[in-house]
Amino acid sequence: MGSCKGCKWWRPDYFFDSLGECEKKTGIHPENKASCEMFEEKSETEFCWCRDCRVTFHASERDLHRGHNFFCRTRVDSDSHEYTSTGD
Amino acid sequence: MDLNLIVGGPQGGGIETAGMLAVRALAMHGLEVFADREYHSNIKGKHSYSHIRASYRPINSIKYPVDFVGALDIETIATHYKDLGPGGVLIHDASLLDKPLTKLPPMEKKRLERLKAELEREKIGNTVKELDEWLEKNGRTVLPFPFLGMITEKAKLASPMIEKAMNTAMTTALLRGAGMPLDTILEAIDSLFMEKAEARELNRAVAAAVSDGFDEIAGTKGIGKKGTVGKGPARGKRMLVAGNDAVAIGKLIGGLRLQTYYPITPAADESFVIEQHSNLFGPEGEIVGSPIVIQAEDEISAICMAIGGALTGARAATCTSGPGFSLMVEGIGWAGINEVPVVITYYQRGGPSTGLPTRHSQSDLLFAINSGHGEFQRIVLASGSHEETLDDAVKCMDYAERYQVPVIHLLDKGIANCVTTINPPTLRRIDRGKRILKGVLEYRRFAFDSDPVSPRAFLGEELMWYTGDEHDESGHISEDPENRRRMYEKRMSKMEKILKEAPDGDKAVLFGDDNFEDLLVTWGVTTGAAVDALPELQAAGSKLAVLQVRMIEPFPVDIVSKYVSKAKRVIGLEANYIGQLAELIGWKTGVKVKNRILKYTGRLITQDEVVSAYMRIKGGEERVVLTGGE
Repeated sequence: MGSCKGCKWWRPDYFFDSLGECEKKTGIHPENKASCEMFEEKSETEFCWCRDCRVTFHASERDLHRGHNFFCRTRVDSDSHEYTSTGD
Repeated sequence: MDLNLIVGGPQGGGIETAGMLAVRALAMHGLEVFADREYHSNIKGKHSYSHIRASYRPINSIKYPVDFVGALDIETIATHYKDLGPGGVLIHDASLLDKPLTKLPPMEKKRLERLKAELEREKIGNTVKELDEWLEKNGRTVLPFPFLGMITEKAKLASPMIEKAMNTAMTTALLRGAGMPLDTILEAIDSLFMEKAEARELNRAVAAAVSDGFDEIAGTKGIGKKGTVGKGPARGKRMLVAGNDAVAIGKLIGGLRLQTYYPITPAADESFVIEQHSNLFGPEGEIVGSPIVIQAEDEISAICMAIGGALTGARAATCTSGPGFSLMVEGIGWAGINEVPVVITYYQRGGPSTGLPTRHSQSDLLFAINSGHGEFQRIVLASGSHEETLDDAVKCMDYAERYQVPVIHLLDKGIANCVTTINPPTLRRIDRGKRILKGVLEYRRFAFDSDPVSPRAFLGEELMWYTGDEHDESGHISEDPENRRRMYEKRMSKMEKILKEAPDGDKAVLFGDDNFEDLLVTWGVTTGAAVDALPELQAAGSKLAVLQVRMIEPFPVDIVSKYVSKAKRVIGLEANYIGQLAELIGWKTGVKVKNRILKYTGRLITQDEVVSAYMRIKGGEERVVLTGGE
């Protein structure tokens, strides 16, 4: 069994490195570095989220993110737009 | 006591709330506060921060180095660690300790390269832990707080709320570090989340949990001794406002009835504030009506709608920043030839084009006074503090109607977004200017008289014509050269009238003794940094004064000449490249302003920068370009 980092259910938080959301549990959690019984290895999806670059990328761009930490999805606080100042 | 602290993190991660909570708590503690907010343009995750300064005396600027840095992410640590002065304290989440300092996706590449070079040059290492050790070795204190544990175990917060509580956890640690009691922090939370009961309770629990664990982590290092930040001296009531709020309040006091706008940074908030307070109350508490706030389809419409409103007799205004003002120019010319009393609140930001939408600049002074083809009289009034801004917002509407000219209230991003404590405003009688007398047989809107300001009738009261063409006394198109000369002179001669009647305090203000040798000439929010730096420079033996120029058009030649001509050295201080006010003073008074202190990075000029730049000028430098701030 693996930990959050390699798990398909783990959605790292957009803003805070140490937080994220597990689709198998409720709510926000610190990233679990120990092995977890709900672990399922993440597989390549059409779009991935790169935590190192903070961007969503297409599978065809995978080479650009070699060695980076990427995940199937990311989690963004639904209220974050309220905290984001506009600048137009 | 002069406390400076920075709280920073990813844009969208609650930095705004963290900053406002700290500002509110410090103000409620009886201190005067001035806070600068720096943020990227609408990009989630980019580094943003608030620099908050608190003192027992009124302050209008920020100052480096800082006493505390609260970092919600690694980028804040990497960006601001060097802002800490000796004895300064860095607080961050303990979970960041083993993270690399240079893996910062939101940071721009060039900035990252500079950071890497800096870390290598200082032999700091590459992790947060190594930087912490370096800081400790260099006389700073680092407090890694286990915020996650505190939030989940001590505050027993349900997990979906953890993310929303990180900012309050950090602010509590910072304020406790500065010696503030928990009670004041809780009071500030109650006030900030007054209308959000759930958020209030959540944040109270987090603050209490962090405060509980504070001594265990910080106490051994002697940080956060109760009373370090003592309660401020007894004083009257204060209001906490951003510049946008101040203008909105001023306009409402000034009898605003129509506000138009097209959303643009950093102006739009002003209209939102007016809209949110749509009920206007009379002296007996009765609702007397509401101002109309219209979001137009663009700035051209915004100025034209405001002009239309003004013609009907409504006190009308619009607000914008550089790109929007560029679009409004044609409308302002129309208001000029038709002598329409309309107010344009102009918040300068970094240009040209879109430029730096969320950053500070004072580079539109010459544009504001020269925009538009042809010649027409206008008033450009530049405020230098938030209190002045509020007061001037009322005055601008009075000036517009008294002289029947477009009035540009010239502000900047520094005023717009900085938050500070001010004295509450007082209500006052407004001046609606010269109105038509009842029983006039033949009304002429632009009547020639010894007074260039003609009696004004509102649309519907009398018959009148308005056109963009030159016109006769009734408003009909006229190309007659004699009429043209007289109408031209009627409009332009308002300049003498304005300069004769406006109080000196609205034209220029001298800070410091009259027996100065050196004179810093400045305007806008930069005035605050100059005035705040003055006591320190005078105490060091400099015979220095600060001249703030407030009325930019018509230019108060007499007052400004009086001061600049007696100074041995005149130094321009402003946030642009050429020194626009300094140039204007040269043109108008004939006194060349040889020395300039300038900044055009998009960041505020700080008190410490004024001190060091002035010393460099004294040391023989002619032009000093400032680069401080992130």
